[in-house]
Amino acid sequence: MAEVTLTGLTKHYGAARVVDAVSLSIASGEFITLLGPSGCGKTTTLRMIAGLAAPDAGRISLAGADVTGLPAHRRNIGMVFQSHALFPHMSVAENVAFGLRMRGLARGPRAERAQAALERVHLGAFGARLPAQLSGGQQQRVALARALVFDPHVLLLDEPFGALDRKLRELMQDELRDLTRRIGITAVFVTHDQEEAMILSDRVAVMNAGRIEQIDTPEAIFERPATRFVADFMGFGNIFDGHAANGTITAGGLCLRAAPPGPADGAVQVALRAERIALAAADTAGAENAAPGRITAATYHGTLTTYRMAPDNGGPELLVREASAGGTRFAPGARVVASWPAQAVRVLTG
Amino acid sequence: MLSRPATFAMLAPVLLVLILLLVLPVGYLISFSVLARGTGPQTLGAFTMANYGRLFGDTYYLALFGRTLWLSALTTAIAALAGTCFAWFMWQSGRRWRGPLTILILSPLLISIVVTSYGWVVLLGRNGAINTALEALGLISAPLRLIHNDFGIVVGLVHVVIPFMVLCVLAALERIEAVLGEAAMTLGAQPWRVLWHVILPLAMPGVAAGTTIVFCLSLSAYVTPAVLGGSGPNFVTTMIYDLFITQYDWPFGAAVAAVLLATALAIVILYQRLLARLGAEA
Repeated sequence: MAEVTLTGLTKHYGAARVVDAVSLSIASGEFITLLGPSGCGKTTTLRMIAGLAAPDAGRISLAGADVTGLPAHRRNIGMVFQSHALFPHMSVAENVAFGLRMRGLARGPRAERAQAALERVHLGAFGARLPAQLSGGQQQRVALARALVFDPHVLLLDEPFGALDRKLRELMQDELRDLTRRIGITAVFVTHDQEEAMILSDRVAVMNAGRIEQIDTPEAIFERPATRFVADFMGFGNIFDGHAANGTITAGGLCLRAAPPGPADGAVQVALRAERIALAAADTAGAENAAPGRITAATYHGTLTTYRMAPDNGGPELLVREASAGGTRFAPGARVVASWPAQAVRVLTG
Repeated sequence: MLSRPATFAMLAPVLLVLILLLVLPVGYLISFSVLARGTGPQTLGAFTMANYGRLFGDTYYLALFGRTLWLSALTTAIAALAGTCFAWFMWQSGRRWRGPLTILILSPLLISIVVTSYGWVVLLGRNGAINTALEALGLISAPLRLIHNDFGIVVGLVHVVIPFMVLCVLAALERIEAVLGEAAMTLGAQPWRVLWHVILPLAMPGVAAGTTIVFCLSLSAYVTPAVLGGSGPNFVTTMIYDLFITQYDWPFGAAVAAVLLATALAIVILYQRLLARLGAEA
């Protein structure tokens, strides 16, 4: 059964339509991420589910009941904010117990359940402290415990790990994934970090300009983007306007064969994954798609090295990403042959 | 960090002003309080504790101290309640109204206290606007006594001190992250419980600072009780004025001033201790 259903959800700020007819059905126990750049409407969508923003049109239902007109405090949702939003004047235990207190639970059972929730996030010994006495990661774990302690219909997370450093963020992502799977809660997560979305989600909804561009499993989104925006956001690196004739796509001077092939004829957009292009100093025999050319730029990133390559036939420049192996392999000006499998070429529909 | 002499140098101007303009004259004045009245109108006699004996031995003076403390406390309580409400309203009202509301709340400070006090006379006097209006409406047959009594003092004092209260509470409210209120709502708190459990406790440091300032201002107010209070000494400050200017009894006036200063200091210190303890418990 769908735990969260959004139907035609729309929101304007002034003349700007920040959320544009978003419809989404989230199954019970599912972890969904709204992924997109800042200003794409993902946070506003989340705030409308929470009841912190009112939609101009559309409906929201939680656990089968229409909650569109219901204020936040009557929706039974748990929410984690980027700034953790712990109450600075209450102890950690009081923070976690707050939702239970608002639900009229007596002091005794309240304290017991808060303690259990704190133990679930490995902070059982920290109940008496004030939030300011905890580290950033600990504060965010308290916020998580506070949002889960009253068994909400759905857990909403608004870029909760945005303020944490990379290492801590990865640790928290693992913990969050384990915890949500273990208790089987439905979760909606908002982020602009595609890697984070991949790691955590059952499904990812990529948002752009207030609309959902594509919604699918992380693998499908990453491997098979439907639109130019999604391909770009997923870091394909090379997106070209091309033309299909007799099943062969040409873009500039490049001849691209795609698998699966796109339409037989007409204008198409194609995306080519930068890290699936191989560079070789000599001709690579037998490659389906290959182009000789010259390196125009090389940038060493550490784990990766990126190259820009201008094909000899005057086609568009190619971006190539490869794992660094002992440093930069080619200097600008070097002659190379770029080749890629047909599976790295994706025909886009929009 | 600055070196120790440099830190002291930063303090020096304020210390100098405090010592020259406050500690020395006030200390000098208070030194009169242990002297007897001289034979001439402004001369001083020998060392004595009689001035303090007279003050603590006479229920008239003690009652006046009691009245002053009570009216100051009442003023503080009313200002705290009204000022907190107003500050909360300003905080909620958003950017567009902030400017006009700030000017509105600061307006008592922009005009001389003498002028605002006589403004209250015009409004609340025997033939003032309020009495005239009430009589015209037939609600009263004889004018109400709205000034030259304690009511007048409290109304006038609240008007003068409320800007300080509002600014203190507003400063505390502005430091509260809006997301805390939202978090409380998502946790199931109705709006009034958000206010009670989250916003008010976090605004408390502002209320504490505001009440301290407002109480001290009320206790030491002179113009308001002089203009709006009843005839004769009605406040410790007006009595001090009377002793110095009308009766030329500087030693006794100094003793009353010293006791007022000590009372104010003692109350502020006790209040700060109480607040610190409440803060530690919360």
